[in-house]
Amino acid sequence: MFKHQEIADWITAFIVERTGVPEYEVEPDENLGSYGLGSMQAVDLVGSLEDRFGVALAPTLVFQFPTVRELAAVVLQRVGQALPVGGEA
Amino acid sequence: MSERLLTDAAAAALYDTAAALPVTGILARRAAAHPARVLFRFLDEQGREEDVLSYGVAWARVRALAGVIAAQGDEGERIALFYPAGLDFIVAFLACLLARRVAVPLNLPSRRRVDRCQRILNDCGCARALTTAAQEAGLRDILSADGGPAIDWLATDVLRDAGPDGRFDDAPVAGDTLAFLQYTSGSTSHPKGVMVSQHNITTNLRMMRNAWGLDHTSNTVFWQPHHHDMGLILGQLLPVMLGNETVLMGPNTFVRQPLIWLDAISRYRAVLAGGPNFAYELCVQRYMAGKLADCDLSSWRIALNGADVVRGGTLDRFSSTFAPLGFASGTMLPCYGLAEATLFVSGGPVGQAPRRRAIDARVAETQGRIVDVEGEGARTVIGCGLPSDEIDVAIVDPQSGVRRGHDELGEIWVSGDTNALGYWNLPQASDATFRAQIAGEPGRHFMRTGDVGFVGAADGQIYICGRLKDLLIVDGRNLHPEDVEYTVVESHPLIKPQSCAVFEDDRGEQRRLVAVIEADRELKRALPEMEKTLRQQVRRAVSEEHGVAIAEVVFIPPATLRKTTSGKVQRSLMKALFQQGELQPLRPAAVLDAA
Repeated sequence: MFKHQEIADWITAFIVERTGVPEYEVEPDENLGSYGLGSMQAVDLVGSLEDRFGVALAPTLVFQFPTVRELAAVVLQRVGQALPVGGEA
Repeated sequence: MSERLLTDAAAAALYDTAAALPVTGILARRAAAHPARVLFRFLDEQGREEDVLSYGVAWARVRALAGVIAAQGDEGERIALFYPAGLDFIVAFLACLLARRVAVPLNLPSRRRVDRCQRILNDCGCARALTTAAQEAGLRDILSADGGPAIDWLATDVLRDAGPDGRFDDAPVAGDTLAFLQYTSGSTSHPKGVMVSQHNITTNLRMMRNAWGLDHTSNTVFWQPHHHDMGLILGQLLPVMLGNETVLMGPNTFVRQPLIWLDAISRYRAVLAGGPNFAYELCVQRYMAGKLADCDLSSWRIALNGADVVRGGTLDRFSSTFAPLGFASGTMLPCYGLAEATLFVSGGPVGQAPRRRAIDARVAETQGRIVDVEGEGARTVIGCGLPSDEIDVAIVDPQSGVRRGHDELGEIWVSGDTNALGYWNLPQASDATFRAQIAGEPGRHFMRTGDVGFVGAADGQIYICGRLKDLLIVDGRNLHPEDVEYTVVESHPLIKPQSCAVFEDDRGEQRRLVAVIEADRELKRALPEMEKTLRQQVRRAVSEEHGVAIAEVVFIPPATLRKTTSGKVQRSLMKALFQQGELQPLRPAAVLDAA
């Protein structure tokens, strides 16, 4: 079972890799746009989250939940919902 | 598949005819010879077939829409095309050409980026636009904001079943007729519309077909946006000349699930598919063992890699990741082109591993000669293939205009029928770019690409080393540093005009954009409090406006940004100082803490 922190760390690592922003500058409650995450990378992030955590997400998810903390929370919630059906984790 | 095999002979029979006709004329012939054959399939976000267009239906729709378009206005008027990914765009584009209108394919503007779009519409004097019913109301609203021209809108997807118009059964079009304007070259403040003629299109399509040995059996899969030259010429017009079957999907489908692209290549037995370097990088990043279990990439003969810097590391990673799925060595095909040459300039031969040369960067920079070296100071450059045999490529000293030899560095100049007619409404810029002459070789016009490179002595391939002017190339799109700097300055009142230099730190494998901001005394005083906010504002503004990330924001003391005597920011000097560690940033404490 995934924990919130695990998902949050994974999102942070994604931002660091795709934008080149140093890890120490990425904060949990800051809007992801502040790290220069553009609309293309936002779609890339949604697809990557789908792959990594085995859930289906709306392409616009990052715009609705634009911080590391919020995004990790909603992904965690979807993972919880997905579990009884498939048992991915 | 069966009707495809049945129509193969008819499609093959038009090989020679297609090479010389305008693209609308080719479609007319193909629709008559093999109407039921599939031209395009469009995949939805899950990779499922959502829409299909046969040669016959495509031509019927193009003729019908051309009749509607021609009922108003005059020949030669500019018509903007605003379409989401799908199969309505190509019908509208070809209908404009058939009705002798000038198509202007544009990106769907967001509210935030409406400014650039309005400038383009004003620049080309556009008063009509075509779109889909679902987009029309939103576009009207966005584009009528301050400064927007009055536009007459027409939704064309609802006219799909309109009857054909007898006037356009097979209207021949003169070769030099202006077909469309490609607005990917200019900056936001100074848009430049490349004028591409019918003859240019036919020439460039034939150049690609012949260079890569393509025909009606060469299926293709593309996801590039149709307002971009690669998506339009390669993805949507080349299929008409070939008589092949092409699978299209939206750019967002690819970015969200890049493996859908590879899966489509496998399922539809594609021979040709490609994109900028980042597309291959993304496939590797997003690949997971066990995915694509049934995927067989062995039909893929040509994996184009163009519109951006080709990186050796990416080629290696992609090949080793996907070789087990049948991706053959020698499939990757780096190529070179630009909108000013319609699209394609060089690429190939097919089936050979990309050429790599480790050159002495210092000798190249100081003496303009290419010398192979190993180890320290070596820079690897990738061969972007042989120029098409229909054009002449010259390497020229940009100052003296003297032609240079093989393995000598200079600006790449192109001569031939594939060169566009010029920039819309910019006679001086058009003369400078499209009608350059080599010293001692009067009478022959060359197009100046602005790219710096050389032609290999041993292999005749074009190698790209950089740009004459500062231009940032991000994921295959051209960005002008002055546009990004303007956005940085506008992002916060504490950042003053003319205080910023944006450049690419290209030392590592990963591209990193750097913004150096010179503080005045007010900003310097505020910086301890404000630094984090400013960084975030800068990054947010740049990503919203340009879709790219600024990896590093560096604040430097007052009066340390280097400028020319005329006050222009010296970007390359600032970049050199940054890379040599000679900038002294304000507040380096945070960096030290983290290290």
